[in-house]
Amino acid sequence: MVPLLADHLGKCHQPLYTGKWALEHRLLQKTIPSGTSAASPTTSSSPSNNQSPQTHQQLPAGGNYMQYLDLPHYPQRLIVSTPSAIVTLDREFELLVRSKLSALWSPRQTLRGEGVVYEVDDFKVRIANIMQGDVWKGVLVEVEYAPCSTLAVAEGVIRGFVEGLGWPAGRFTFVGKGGGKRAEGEEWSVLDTGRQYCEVLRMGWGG
Amino acid sequence: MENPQRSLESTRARFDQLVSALTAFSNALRTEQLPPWQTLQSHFNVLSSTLDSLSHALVQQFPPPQVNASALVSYPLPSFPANSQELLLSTLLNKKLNSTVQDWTLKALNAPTVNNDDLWDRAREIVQEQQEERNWYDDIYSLEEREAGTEGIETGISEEKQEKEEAIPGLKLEAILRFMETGVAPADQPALPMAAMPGTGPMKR
Amino acid sequence: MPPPPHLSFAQSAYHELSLYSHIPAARQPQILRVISGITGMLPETTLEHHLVYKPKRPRQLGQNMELYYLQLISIVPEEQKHGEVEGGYDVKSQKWRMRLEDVPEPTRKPVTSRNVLGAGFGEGDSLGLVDSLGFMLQTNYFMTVSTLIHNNIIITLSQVLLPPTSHAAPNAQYGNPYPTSGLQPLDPARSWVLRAAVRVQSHQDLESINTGVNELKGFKELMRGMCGLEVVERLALDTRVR
Repeated sequence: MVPLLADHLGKCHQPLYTGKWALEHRLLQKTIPSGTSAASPTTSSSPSNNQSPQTHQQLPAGGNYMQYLDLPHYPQRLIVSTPSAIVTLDREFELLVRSKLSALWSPRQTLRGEGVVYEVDDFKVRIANIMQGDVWKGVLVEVEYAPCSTLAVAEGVIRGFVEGLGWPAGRFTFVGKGGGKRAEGEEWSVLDTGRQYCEVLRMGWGG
Repeated sequence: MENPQRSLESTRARFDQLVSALTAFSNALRTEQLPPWQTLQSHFNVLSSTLDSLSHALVQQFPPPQVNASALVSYPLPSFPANSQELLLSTLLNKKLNSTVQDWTLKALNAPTVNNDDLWDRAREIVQEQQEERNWYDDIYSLEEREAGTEGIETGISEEKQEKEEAIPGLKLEAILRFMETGVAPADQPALPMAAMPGTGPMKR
Repeated sequence: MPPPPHLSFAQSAYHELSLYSHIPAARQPQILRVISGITGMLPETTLEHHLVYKPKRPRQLGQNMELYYLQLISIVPEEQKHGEVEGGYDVKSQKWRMRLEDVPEPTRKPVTSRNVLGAGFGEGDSLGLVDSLGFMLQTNYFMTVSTLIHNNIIITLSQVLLPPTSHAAPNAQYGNPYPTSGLQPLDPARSWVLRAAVRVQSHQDLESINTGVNELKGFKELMRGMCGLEVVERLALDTRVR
């Protein structure tokens, strides 16, 4: 899939190959108190572009999950996201939760992404295959537009760029802090990028 | 006796001292209102020291076994004009005591010996009576101070000692550390297991 | 501005060896002067804000995994001359560090030995995340800490302070350090806690641990007569819930 997308890109623009990249995503779930049964997750095995597989999970009231995101463009820290908060934290947080908070949180899903990065004018395009273990889950593309940091303006520009590529239909995510509603002149922060990744990579967990 | 003249002279001086001390004391006692005890005390002290030095001097200068007042003999020097001052001479050389003084002397010499032990016993009794009459422990402040409403008196003892006396009960180290670790207030902290007594060092398992 | 690297709370994960001493109020200035002399440096004093969190969920019977108290720590900015920092104290915009200190291990070593894990927050709603993590605020307190370094030993002289109880202001449950003159010591006798600690990267690095233990023993000897550095009761540092 990746070469196909890259090919498309090449047809429209003169992309500059700048290297490989990788990402890691972990999803944890609040451990359910013993006595409550949980439906086992079903994952769709057919590959799709960022389309959420039909995954259903019975979760405790408040549906609590937590996601860690390890991105190359923010190397020293993890992006940690829950339904109600998103932060950046030192990497040691992962060790803390794994060794001392295992009574509260269990790992549920680990995804790895591997792919290539291209630069096209002011755009940076990252394309990666998402794998869960040996299972291919889909392709993820991140388009970064550097010159403008105002979300409202940038969205328009990026959307235009993507639509012009003629790629196969996929899910376009551009979620700001307000989850759709954007404050006037809101500036980009790494949390916005993190939020988008987490939304996409959650793959429907927690409904 | 080396120099009878000088000894006599100094003894006379001491006797003079004694007389004036006695006079002063007796005057003080005879005033309309007794003077404060501090004054009487000082008079008494003066008397006592005068007597002491006098008796000391007497013993030294007129050692008892050897000398007897009546054995002192005085005589005029050749240069004394004995012819013209015959009356004066005889007066000076007269050793006979004034009749009043004679009486005193006889009376004193014949008085029964004073039993010192009895005297001290009696003194002790008097002191004890006085002591029992007073309450030494309950009232720290004098009547004067109590009337003035004195709350406390600064005695000038160093601050450090004062702090020790007013020691405020503080928290143990363990209680403070437990609060730092768990946020549970010291008052609410359950006791640690018996084996965990402070100061026992590393637990041996 | 991130705290300078040697300050106590900036490191993330390490094994800590330590000795403690309880210092009466009257002796604190003298002890500080003496240690300052030994180390050849002036103490760095900061006011720390501590939020102690407890897991919301009670421990399940039979569950063999432990639940721990968790702390969030930040440094309180210095008060301006007129007693108030612009805009007051905003608990949510402070730069917090998460810290979980494990219960000290039972050991024959002449020091307290424990694991410490931590992670610093960057951007985002730190307090909101800790809430999502499944914790609730148990207590807040402040601590004035004077730090000195002697070779590998981090020496801290600390006093726990409590803010006046106030229910009026928003976020009052987190505690407000201003005005700092209103903070009262937890201990009515105003005593201080002296701690000498060595941090070792891994508890499996026996050589470093030995070096640390010996350094602490040496420092204890140096301070003999001035104050007694002892192995504190292990369970007094227990962070396990129940």
